[in-house]
Amino acid sequence: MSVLKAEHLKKTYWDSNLELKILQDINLEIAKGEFVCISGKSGCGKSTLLHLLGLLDTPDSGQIIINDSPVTTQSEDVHKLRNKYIGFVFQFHYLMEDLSALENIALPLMVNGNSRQSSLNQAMAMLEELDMVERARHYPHQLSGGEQQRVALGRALINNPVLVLADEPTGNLDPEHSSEVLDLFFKFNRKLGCSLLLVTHDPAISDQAQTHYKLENGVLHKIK
Amino acid sequence: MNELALLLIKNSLFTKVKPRIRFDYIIMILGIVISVAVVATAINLFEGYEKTLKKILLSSSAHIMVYSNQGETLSIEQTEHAIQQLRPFREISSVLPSYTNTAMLRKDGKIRSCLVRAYHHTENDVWYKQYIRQGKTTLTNGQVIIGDILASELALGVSDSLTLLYPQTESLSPLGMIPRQMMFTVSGIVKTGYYEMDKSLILMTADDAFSFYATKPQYTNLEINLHEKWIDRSQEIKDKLQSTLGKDYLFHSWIDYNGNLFSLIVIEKWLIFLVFSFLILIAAFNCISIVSTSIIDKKREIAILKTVGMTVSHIRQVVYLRILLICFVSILSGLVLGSVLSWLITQQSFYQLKGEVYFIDRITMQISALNYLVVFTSALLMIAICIKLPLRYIDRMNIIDVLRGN
Repeated sequence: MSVLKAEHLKKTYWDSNLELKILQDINLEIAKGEFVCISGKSGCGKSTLLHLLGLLDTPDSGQIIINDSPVTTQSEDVHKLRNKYIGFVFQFHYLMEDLSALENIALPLMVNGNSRQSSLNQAMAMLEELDMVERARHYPHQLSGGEQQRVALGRALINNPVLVLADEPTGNLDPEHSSEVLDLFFKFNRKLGCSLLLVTHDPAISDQAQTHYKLENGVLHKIK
Repeated sequence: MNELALLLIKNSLFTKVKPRIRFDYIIMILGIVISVAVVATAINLFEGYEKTLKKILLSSSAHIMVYSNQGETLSIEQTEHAIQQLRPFREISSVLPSYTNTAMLRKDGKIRSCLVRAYHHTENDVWYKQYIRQGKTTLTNGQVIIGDILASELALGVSDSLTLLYPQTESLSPLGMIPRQMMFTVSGIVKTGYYEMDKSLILMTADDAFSFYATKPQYTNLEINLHEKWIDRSQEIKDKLQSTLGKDYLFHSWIDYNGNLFSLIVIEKWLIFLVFSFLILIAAFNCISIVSTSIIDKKREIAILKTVGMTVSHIRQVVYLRILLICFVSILSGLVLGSVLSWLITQQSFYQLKGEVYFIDRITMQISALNYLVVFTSALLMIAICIKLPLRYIDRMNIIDVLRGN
């Protein structure tokens, strides 16, 4: 059963009257619990594809199906879909500076309407999984790069999404922290059964994926 | 407002990230505090002036005057009947029969016209006692109390004598009209603060007035004073008394005499408020740029909130309430500062009013809940609208660029 399906996605940007066909005909299907990797050169459209799949951007044409229902960014409940079904992790941690690590993780739960206390309780359980309980009250500027990314991962997973979209999550980390964060990705992929779509340049990561695509000239080529 | 909005607002207001407050926020807060303080101060001082003027005006004249509707004077029977009828009214503090007429005053060859007001010498609750500057506060037969300008113009002091003259057509002689005249001793000098009154007033006993004007005991009017809390409702009470005493009597309240003056003062007060409100409006315009820069400044946070599924309307609500809360506290601080400033102005000794010129010898203030409510509401309304205007930018914000780190 697929959790996400993309059919004939196209995306074009205009730069000073110059047409840039970033994505030409993207077809992709991600099964439940599957670990998918997309690699490609810088600027080839990997992040654009991730944003389209994450309902943050609108394709020029084509269709995205989540849990067997076609969805668009124009849907009234698109924010609910993002909150319930999709978790995001970016290259830069993108944490809320004014919120503690605990509150940052609890954020999607509170957006979903859960009470503050229950959200914080769940976030604390997540911090335990991330082995960061002692950092619960720390603010992002008080955390290391690896810790910030672990908090970002916790925030992406707290709502038990069916799909986690990660855009070069280790691109900004040293090898040691990079390995720690990846281990956590794999751990949660196995434990929670959520699908994982990871964009990376790192062949070591793509080798571990169940499915590996390469994005080239706006088209996805299946490597594995 | 949900718990998340509260958390986001609280954490951003009491942020642990330095700098805790930006310089442009400080300028915005100062702008609101100072402009609101200026408006509040102006209103407080004007309210104080209005109250003081009213207090002085009403302490030297009756709140309601009763005249006869049948002739020029009220007979003793009419007067007693009216007093009897008015006694049960709890709004009334005193009813004083008085006799008023004009006369000429002569002293050492100088002659002045004057206004004679006479009261029964046993009356204790008379208005002029608080304004006696020299001499006795009670009236005795053969003695008069005179206005201080009149006294200084004729070089009259306590214990000096003067002659009052009153022309009477029935006292014609072959040599012409012989006016009635009577000598009096000055027993006191009164200063009400009204130029016209201080220049012409002569107070005497009713018995002396009846004798001087050669008239039977009668009164020209009744002076009714009300308890303080009823003074502003004089018009309503006047109508009530009129219906009780009927058409034989004619009632006039202080509002009939001075209502226009106080209406003018109230209009001036609100005009001042209107003009000074432009200061608040300018401070509110500053909020537009603050909100715009705040949205640009917080675009990363806004992008994160959109990514985790927060709706644009909720994000707008958080940004709106956060700045509105800062402005709310700034307005309240402005009102407090305005109160302190007003008080300091009343306490200062650099500039004092000349009592003899302005009638009020010191600056007074009065804090009115209604005035503060109007200032607070109008300031909040102006600021709330100005905050709302740039929030549309959140809807149009392209979070993709932000997430790409552009």
